[in-house]
Parts: sequence; C-alpha cells; structure tokens
Amino acid sequence: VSEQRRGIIAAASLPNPPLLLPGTTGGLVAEVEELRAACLAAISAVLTSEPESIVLIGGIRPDEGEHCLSLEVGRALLSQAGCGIRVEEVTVGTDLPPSQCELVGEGIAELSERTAVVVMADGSARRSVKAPGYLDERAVPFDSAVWRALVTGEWSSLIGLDPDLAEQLMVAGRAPWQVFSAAMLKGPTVPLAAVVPHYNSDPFGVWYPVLSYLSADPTPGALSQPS
Amino acid sequence: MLRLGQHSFDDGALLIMAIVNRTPDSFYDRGATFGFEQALERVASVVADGAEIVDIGGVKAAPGEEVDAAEEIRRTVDFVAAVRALYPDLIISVDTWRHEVGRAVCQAGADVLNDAWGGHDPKLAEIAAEFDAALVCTHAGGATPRTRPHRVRYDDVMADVLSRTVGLAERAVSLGVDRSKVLIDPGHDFGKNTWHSLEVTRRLGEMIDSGWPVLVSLSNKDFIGEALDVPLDQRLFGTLSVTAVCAWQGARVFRAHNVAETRQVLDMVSAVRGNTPPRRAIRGLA
Repeated sequence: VSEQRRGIIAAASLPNPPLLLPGTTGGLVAEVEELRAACLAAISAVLTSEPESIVLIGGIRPDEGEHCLSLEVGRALLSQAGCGIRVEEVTVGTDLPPSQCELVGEGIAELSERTAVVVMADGSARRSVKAPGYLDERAVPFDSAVWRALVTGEWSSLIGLDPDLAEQLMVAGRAPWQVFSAAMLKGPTVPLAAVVPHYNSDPFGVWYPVLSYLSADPTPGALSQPS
Repeated sequence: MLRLGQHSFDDGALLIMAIVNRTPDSFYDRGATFGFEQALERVASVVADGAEIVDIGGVKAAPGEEVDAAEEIRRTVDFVAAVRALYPDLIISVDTWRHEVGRAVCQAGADVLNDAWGGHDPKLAEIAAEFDAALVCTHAGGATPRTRPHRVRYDDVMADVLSRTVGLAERAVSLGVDRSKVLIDPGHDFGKNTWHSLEVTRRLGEMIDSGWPVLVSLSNKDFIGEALDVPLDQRLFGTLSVTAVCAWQGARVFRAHNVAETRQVLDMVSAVRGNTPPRRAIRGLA
C-alpha cells in the first residue's frame, strides 16, 4: 500500500433513526427496508476500498445520558453489512459548537491507517405537517442545501451550517456532519471524488440522506466531482 | 401445545372457530347458510377473514323443531366431506352431542368434536378417541340438549364448571383421546343465567389455571344482550369486549360469528400481551 493511499480512503453518510435498529418496526415496513437497503449498499461500497478500520461518528443529545442511540444504529448497520473490521467510535454532542466540531474532525483526519469514515446524521424532522416536529417552511430548503453540499463535497459550507437554525428545524445531523466535513476537508490524501447518492427521501417527515464516497483512482465511473 | 387437525399451536396463539350453521333456524343467522352452496360460501368467507377452524352445526341449540340423528347426519356429513376436499388444511369441527353423528363426520374428515352439551352422550368421547379427533368438553350444568335454563342455581358456578369440564377432559384422556387435543369450555348461557355467564367470564382465570386449553363461545349470546339490554343485531361491541376480556385472561379458542372483527380484537390483544409485534411501528421512531 503506497503512502498516498493511507488516511481517509472512503466515507459514508447514513441517517440514524431508531427505526433502523433490528426489530424496532415490529413487522417489516417497506419504506424502512428500502432505507436500510440503501444504507447497507453504502457500507458495502465503502468496504470495497478495503479499509483497515472504520471511524464511526455519532451524535448524542444532551439528554441521552451514556447511551448513544446514533452509534447504536451505526453499529447495527455495520454488523448487518457484514463489517468485520475494527470500529473506532466518536461521540459528538449534538449541541457542540461548529468550531469545536472542526477540531474533532481534524483529529480524525490525522489517522495514519487506511480509514473509512462513517457519519450518522440526518436532516430536519419538520418537513411536513405530519412530521414529528410539524411543518417548518425552512426545513426543505435547509436540507436541500445540505444535500447539495454532500453531493458536491462542499465541506466548508457544511461547516458553516447555522447551529441555531439547525436546532429549530430539529436537524440531528448538524454537529456530526460538521465533524465529518472537517475530516473530509483535511483528511483524504487522494480526493474522494466518486460520490454515490444511495437515498434521498423523507417517508416519515424526517430527511434521510445516504451517500458513499470513494477515491477516484480505483473507481471507474465516478458520478460527480467536487466543485 | 394444542394440536388440532394437522396443526400445532403454542400457548400464545389465539384461534378463531368460525360458526357455520347448516340449520334453517339458528338464532343469529336465521338459516342464511342452511343451503349447501351458501354454507360453502360462508366457509370461504371466514377462511379469508382469518379463521383457523370452522365449526359446522346441524342442530340449533335452542328448543325448536325436532332434528333426529339421521337428519343431523344428512345436514353435516356431506358438507364436512366437501369442506375437507376444498380445504385440506382447514381445521373442521362439528358441533354435536350425538356419537352417531360424531362417527359419521369423523369418517368424512372432521378434526374436532365440539360437545357443546357437556357430555350428554358419553359415547361421543369414545368416538374422538377412535378417530384421534380433538374434543371440546363444555359445561352445560347437566342440562338436557336443546333446553333453556330455568331457575338454575349453583353454590359456586365456577366450581361446578371446573369440576364438570375437567372431569370430562380427564375422562376423555382415560378413554384414549390425545391429551393435547382436549379443550374445556365454560359454556356461556348453557345451563346458566346472565349472572352466571358474567361470573364465569370474570373468573375465567380459574379455568386457565387448570392447565387445559380454554375455548369460549360468546358470540352474540343472550348474556351480552342482557348485560347491555340490546337486541340480537346490536351485540357486536359487547361480543368483542368480552372476547378481549377472555383473551387477556388466557382463553385460546374463540367461537365466533363475526370473524374479521374478532380477528382484529385477538390480534390487538396479542400485540398488547407482547406475543406478536406491532405490524408497523413508526411513531416516535423516525
């Protein structure tokens, strides 16, 4: 393995609703299984890069105590995808200020192993009148901006997300995405240019994006380039 | 483990025995399925609605026109054979107190003998043993078939229910009926006034504690009508309420007219008990 292929070599962004935990929906729910399949596809794509370890970033709410639901969802998905490599967990307070998120992310970028970064993060829970947080007209534009940044690799625009607005819109993924973005901005020695969008929908009024990122060089047919 | 026909059921399973009357005069349907074709349509309908068992009857429970064994056989046997041919896996029960009828329907493919008149004909249990059929042992307070209770008294109605039904069940096993194929039934309204039927419902747990699987036959009965003072066509909510009460206490089989509604009640009870997961749990988890 050349020096160039060390550091962050692959990444994925996955949502973390509790309904992705095995058995949580009771019977199988078609919308949830479609989302789960997208998450597993993203993890499988990441594993094709043969990382030595995974850094799993999860958000923890101030009221959650010791138990991080976001990481639990991440662990369950990695397990279901048959991931057998070492997983290092990074817990991020969902209220962590952006500047501190950047510091945490830069620390991840300094890892010397072939590392895949998986961030557990999702968007607004206020996208419709039936959504958990009822409709806020600002939710869809906010999420759309996040989606554009995730797809095009505009990491600095994610680091610039407004924490107050994100909180008002019940966006659980703001801080984890900022940690992830700082790592992605600094980390990969080869740009992760092959972005695959696996899922982008809100079946229950909460926005769930699923994407995977691979290095451009071993992957023919990259879908889009960072701007 | 309860075994009926080719099927085995664990303790959490809640089963529906759908009533299929080949009678011109039964109290609820008033002859709607007396005709062969209409009765077959009823079977198709209750199977689609989720019944595991059909209970075919050729004689109404209440007093009325005399139906002898030959006529009861004429009404039931060919029909049992037709249902068996059409539904090889369906559990077929026949509601009869007569051993001659029991023998004929078992030869035609019946799996269960529903002895709703409490062992009036002691030879019926021998037929169950001979054909390896299941047997429902019901409390009717010693009443003669097709009689109404009149000034019936019990020192302790549940004690009488227990001693008679468990006695019938143990006798059946001693005659060779498979222990996993014997059910007991408190016999709501049979040899009982409304106070008695309400009390056996309230104290159904004592039957459950006996260890024998319990069948209840509640559907649209007079004790529901009298508890609520409602006529026959307004007893569905009462029936479903008492179905839930019995299911919660541990009854396993529910003899019913209104199968789709009963299925939903039993599925709901099963979900509350934690025996079956919700079909679709999203609320608060998105």
